[in-house]
Amino acid sequence: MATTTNYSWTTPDDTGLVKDGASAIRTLGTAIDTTTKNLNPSTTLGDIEYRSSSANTNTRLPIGSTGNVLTVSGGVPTWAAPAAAGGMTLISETVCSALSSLSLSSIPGTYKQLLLEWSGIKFNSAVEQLVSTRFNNDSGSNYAIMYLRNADSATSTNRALDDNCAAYLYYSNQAATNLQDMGAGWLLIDNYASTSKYKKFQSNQGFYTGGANQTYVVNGTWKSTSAITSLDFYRTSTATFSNDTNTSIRLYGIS
Amino acid sequence: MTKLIVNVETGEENVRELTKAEKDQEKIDAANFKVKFEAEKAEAEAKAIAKAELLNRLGLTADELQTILG
Repeated sequence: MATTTNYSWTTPDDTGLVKDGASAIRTLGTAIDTTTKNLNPSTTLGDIEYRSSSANTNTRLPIGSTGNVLTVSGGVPTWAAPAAAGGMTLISETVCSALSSLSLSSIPGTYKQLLLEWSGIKFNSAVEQLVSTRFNNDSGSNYAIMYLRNADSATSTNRALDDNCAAYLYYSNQAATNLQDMGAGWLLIDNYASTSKYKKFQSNQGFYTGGANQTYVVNGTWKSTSAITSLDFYRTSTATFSNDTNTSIRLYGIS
Repeated sequence: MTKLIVNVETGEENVRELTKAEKDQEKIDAANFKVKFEAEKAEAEAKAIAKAELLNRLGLTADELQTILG
């Protein structure tokens, strides 16, 4: 018996007898039906097919869950949840009002980095002082810092020291009334939840004091293997600190 | 002497007075601040004086020096 080129379906020979026609057609139809089903095994809405390891036989892949993406596993397509995207999550936002001290406690250890941002930090009186932040309220000289300070481009200072705080939120000798004169900046803490490594941090702060704008660029290491679970803010004099209108201290977790 | 404690996991806020230990720490921080920033000011002033003396010897103004340095 003759066969077709691609799927080897059996067809009558040219010399075959007419009386064998019905049987030949039935044989051919059955073969076509089987092949078609092997190539199209879908049964349900959303199904797709891909070639299996056997020639002319596809494998049915049922539709995945909502939000799934098509990916490859073990050399074949499969539906899977998309990889988690990185990003920032606002953990807390605080508006300070006439505070002597502030503590952001119970920081979850589920992020890769912490980012603290602040703006509009001001004092209520013209006393020279600063507002600083510490990790886990550690007041020891455990913050190895290299900083560059620049004041109105006229005076710059490079310094390395073991400080007792991580970042200055504001340093001034005045009760600021203009937003541009108040404390603003950011502090990025890497690998903060580690219980085996020291913590690297970087910060950048700008504020106005003594008739000059000041900028601090800080690169530091907190010499502790404890996971950071709180950020603690303190002052160095008697003036209280507050946020100006529409400003705050914001803590983000970075995935 | 108000301290605000924010539990960032629950959002719960608690306001209380500073404890004696916290007040004592505040005094230490104030003293450290004074020492640190007085030293920094003195260093900056010394640098400024040295710079002015050098410029004077060279017969240059600060603006002229800046022009040379580009």
